[in-house]
Amino acid sequence: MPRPLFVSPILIVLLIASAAASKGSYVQRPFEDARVTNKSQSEDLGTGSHMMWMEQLRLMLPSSLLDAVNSTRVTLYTAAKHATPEGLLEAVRDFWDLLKPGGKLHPTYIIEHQGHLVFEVVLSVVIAYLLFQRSYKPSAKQEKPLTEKEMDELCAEWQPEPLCGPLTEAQRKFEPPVISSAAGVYIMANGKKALNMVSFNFLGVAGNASIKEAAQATINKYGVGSCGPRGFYGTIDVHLDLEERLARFMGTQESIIYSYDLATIPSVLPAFANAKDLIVCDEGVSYPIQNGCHLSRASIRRFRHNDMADLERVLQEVDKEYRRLRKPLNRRFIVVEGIYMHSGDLAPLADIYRLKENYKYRLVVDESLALGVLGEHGRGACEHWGLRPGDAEIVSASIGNALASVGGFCAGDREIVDHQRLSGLGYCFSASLPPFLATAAIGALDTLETGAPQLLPALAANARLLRSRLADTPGVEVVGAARDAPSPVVHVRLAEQPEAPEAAEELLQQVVDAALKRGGVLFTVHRVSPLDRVRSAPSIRVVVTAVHTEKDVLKAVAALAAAVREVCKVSRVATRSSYMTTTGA
Amino acid sequence: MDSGLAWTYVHLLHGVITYYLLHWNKGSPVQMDQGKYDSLTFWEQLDDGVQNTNTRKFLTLVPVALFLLATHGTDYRRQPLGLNLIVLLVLVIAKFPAMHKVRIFGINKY
Repeated sequence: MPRPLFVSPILIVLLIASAAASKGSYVQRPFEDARVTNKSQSEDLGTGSHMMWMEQLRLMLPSSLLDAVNSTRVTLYTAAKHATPEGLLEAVRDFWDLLKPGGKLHPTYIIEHQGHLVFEVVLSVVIAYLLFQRSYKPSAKQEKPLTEKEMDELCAEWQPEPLCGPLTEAQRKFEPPVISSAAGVYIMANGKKALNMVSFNFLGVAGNASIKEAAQATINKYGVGSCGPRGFYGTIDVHLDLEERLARFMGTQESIIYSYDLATIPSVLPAFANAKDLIVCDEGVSYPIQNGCHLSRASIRRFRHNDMADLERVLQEVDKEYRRLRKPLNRRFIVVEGIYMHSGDLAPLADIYRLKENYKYRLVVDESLALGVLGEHGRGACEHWGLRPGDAEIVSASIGNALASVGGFCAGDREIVDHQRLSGLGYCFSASLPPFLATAAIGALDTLETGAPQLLPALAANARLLRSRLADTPGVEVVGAARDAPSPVVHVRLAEQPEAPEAAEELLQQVVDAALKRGGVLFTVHRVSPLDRVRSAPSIRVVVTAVHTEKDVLKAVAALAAAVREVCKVSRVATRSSYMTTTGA
Repeated sequence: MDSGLAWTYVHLLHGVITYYLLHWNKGSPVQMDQGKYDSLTFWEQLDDGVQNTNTRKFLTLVPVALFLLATHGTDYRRQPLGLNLIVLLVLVIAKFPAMHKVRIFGINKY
């Protein structure tokens, strides 16, 4: 309904003008004068029976209206009498005398002569009209319900969409290796001993005998499950112990544990960001972070992976836009990973910290792969880049990688953590971590704290060795730059890799299979969920731990090099042709 | 002070206060609603946006009644009729169903 909207401002302006004019006229014209002039004019005009009729009407109607009618008649009479230019001019002048402040057609005059009765009647009618209106919802448009026939047609037309795309031949034939031992440096894969280059057990904590014993004691004391969410009979003393230990280890005021690492960040982000807020995140973040951003309903801006110039551009754009639209203040976050799951490289947190301070953002860092790996004490990427605890406002991490247990946690200031105890959905509405897993995590923290001076340098040395040796391997490309040297997660691609992801994945799988079969080393192709929005080229993920020896690392590199040579020689022709067909189609 | 002037003061005060509370103030004090109501004034949130409900009718009638009380039975010289009228119009126009979620001239847009 656009029409009333255009009319109403005009109406307001007109009324303001007339009200202002009438206000001024209160002083100009005394009340009684109006009466006198009015009477003399009507006496001039009226004669005989006509006059009588007017007098009768005058009793019935507010006098002001009759005055107005009479005055108009006088003007018209004058104009008709002298139908000359001078006469017309005089008529116009007379009419203006009626209309101007003090004239008989002016609102003030009408109101003063009981014209307000008319006004009040009009308002009463408005009130009555309003009272008899029916209520309705403005947005709800009533659509016609579908007929029976239309419904049948729609049902017949409907084709169920597959939940995911069809599998390729290679994907259908793929058989994952069967592991029949704990995840140590060497494992039993398909019944044969193999060197383990896949698990995130960075500190070799998994399978530690004393931790197993402690976990067993906890099971004997508390049973396996915790039987409820943390706020609902699910809190056991070991949970509180673990939270205190994690807070002390991370150097923050408090920490909060979640039962599942993939649910940690998707709970933390929506607890702090909502529909009016803004999240700026790296393009290459892992699926849990993408999920968290999505679930928070905040508006999301992405910057190119690890590109600080692009991050600054995004921040400037946001700043400009918010200034231009004068948007209200909201919460803004930059979300990155310490070590990226999808590429194994490090986020340059020193630069990101500088930018977030400049542009007044809060920094959220997922340390899942960096905890127990980077930094002097193993606190993660923040420590590695020289950030003090608390510089990144929200730090979350998995306790399923280096700490070799299950679950995740978030560490930060008391306000940050306390807020999550009621707003972190995974914390409130999910059963708490089984107590023995908390005990296992405490045991792993003990190992990390006491063993950090030996374990962390060993891990860093292994990571550097692995990365440099892989970079030297012919036919192989390592993802990342020089600053990523301390990262023990190395993604490698073939130098001549088909561009089509299915073909590339198939070729990489052949390399992995060959390395396991003939080299006795277990690698894995980095798998990405169909729901994941990151679509980087497929890669083989090589992970080294602190307990690998130099010999192990060299053996792994040699096995990979041999497998690459073997596969690429055989399948060069085949891949070329399959690549051609896939891109052609 | 005659009754017309007294009612004028009541009308003006009521106008200013309810304009701020109903038509200027936006959002809701509830933190858990994910900012859903941040762009809506209190008037627009009233009765979940349903128009012409009894509550809305009542709140529209109050300024009209006050205006009538202020203007009726006074000599129109001591009380500012124009001001009363502007306040009345602003309050009533802001309550029109056609003005639901409309910000004329971008007033109070953000």
